[in-house]
Amino acid sequence: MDLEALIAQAYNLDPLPVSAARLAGLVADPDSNLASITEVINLDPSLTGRVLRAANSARSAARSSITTVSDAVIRLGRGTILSIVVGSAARKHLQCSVPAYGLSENALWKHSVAAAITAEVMGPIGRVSVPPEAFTAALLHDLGKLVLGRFLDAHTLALLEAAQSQGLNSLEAEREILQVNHAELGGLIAQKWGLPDSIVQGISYHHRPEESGLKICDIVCVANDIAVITGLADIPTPVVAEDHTAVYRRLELTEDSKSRIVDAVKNRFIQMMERFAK
Amino acid sequence: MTVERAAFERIRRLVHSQAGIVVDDGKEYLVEARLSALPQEFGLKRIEDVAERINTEPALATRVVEAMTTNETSFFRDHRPFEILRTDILPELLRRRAPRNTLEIWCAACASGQEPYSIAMLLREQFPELANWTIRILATDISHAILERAKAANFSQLEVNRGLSAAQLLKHFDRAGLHWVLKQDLKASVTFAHLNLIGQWPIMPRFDIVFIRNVLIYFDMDTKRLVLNRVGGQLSADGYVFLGGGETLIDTDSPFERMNFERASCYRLVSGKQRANLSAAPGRE
Repeated sequence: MDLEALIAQAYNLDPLPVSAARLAGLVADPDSNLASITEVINLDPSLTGRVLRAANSARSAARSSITTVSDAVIRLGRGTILSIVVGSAARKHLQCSVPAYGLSENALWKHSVAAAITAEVMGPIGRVSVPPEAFTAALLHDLGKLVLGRFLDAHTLALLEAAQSQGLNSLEAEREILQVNHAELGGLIAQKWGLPDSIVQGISYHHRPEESGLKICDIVCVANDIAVITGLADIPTPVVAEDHTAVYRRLELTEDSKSRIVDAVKNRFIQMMERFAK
Repeated sequence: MTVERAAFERIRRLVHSQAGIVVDDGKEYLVEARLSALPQEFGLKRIEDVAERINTEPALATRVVEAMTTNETSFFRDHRPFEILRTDILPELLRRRAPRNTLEIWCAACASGQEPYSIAMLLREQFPELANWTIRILATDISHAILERAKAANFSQLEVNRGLSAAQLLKHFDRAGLHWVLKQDLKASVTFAHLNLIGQWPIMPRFDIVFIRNVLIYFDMDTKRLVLNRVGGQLSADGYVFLGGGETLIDTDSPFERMNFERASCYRLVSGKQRANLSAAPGRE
């Protein structure tokens, strides 16, 4: 694996709009205020339209209509606003098929949206304190597969498969054969896009959150796990399953809250797909 | 895809005899992955051609062994050993070593250098009072190629992302295109040398701290015993040894006892008398 070429390819992915990266920095900063977030959105007309449409979408429209960006941020919450902005920009990448990972067109996008919803509903259902930027980290958690997938020829895929047949999980196989894994490559792209470090970490360590120690990594790990369980996206079942029992324990998520989160994600999925499409 | 059985056997015999590394059955894919570039490098066609020549071409054999070693590492790998180094081990050792103001540290399988450089960074950041001490960090590895990389201290963005904070990166590294190069003073604080853990060791000082992490997992039990006993002979009476998180001393009959700290552990030598008593107890680690 030519790591230099891989990194160059990751850096060549179309960047996010500058306003999206600035917004991400503000959302991840607990000291930022509503005015500064509103200002960034107001300066970008397409962003403004997107945010207002989302705030007035089916789920929100039952209440009075929203006409200002600040009201939209209050109604949707800063974390949701960020995931809409970043998701709209990243959608074209994530909708691509990634044959090396057995992902047909749209499969990765559906999985990513399901993970983002999981991060969003985990707070109220599981009583987990979820940082607002976690929705975006969950949405982008598999970004690295887009780039790594292009480097996996039939021979390399056969080596990865052989490694998994010997009991390694997919991430361990990637590290053993490629000296890199899709999670840290995704973190590298997020970093290049100027997203805050908490999002970069959340993506980089979503399979091995204990290596980072940040709570956002636990949240994205569970978001990925539950997104798979929902079955909303057609993604291959791992040959060797990862055991994330300790992660659920750290977040104090019970089996009951887990199944309620799964139901909530399924219920909100169609509406969220529409929100990102607008 | 699979490497032919006879070639696989030749290669794994070589790797075991020269480096002590066990290549298990079923790891043909690993031989294939690690050696895929070698045939072309040596003007050959297939890995099987490489295997046929390893007994007669020492340079090729050396490259095979180096390619088969695992160089996975990262800055401040596993965090916790560095944490107890900072909070417990170093403060205690510094008190004891204060009369002579000298500290000897050895990273026994340093790969591309992240571990010794992490220790150097930790000392610089957390123990500024050591500025007038003689601190020697020796970092060794079996692979000449990886040692050259370690000496250059030139890391990709992916490598620095593994374990370094943005603040540490900006403080200790200079940007060089898409890479990051460790600042000269920290680079110069580590001495790199070639050393095969199962080969002959050069004359070395007694070490106060030895990092030999995630190496023993690749050895069979006899090699583990041999290496651990040799490490014991190289350690100061009150020195400390750090192993990898998943490594234990069970059944190794090693001269060490485990010291547990909060969420991490390390090892120190037991005295001869204690050792006689402890070795009678089954399952001692």
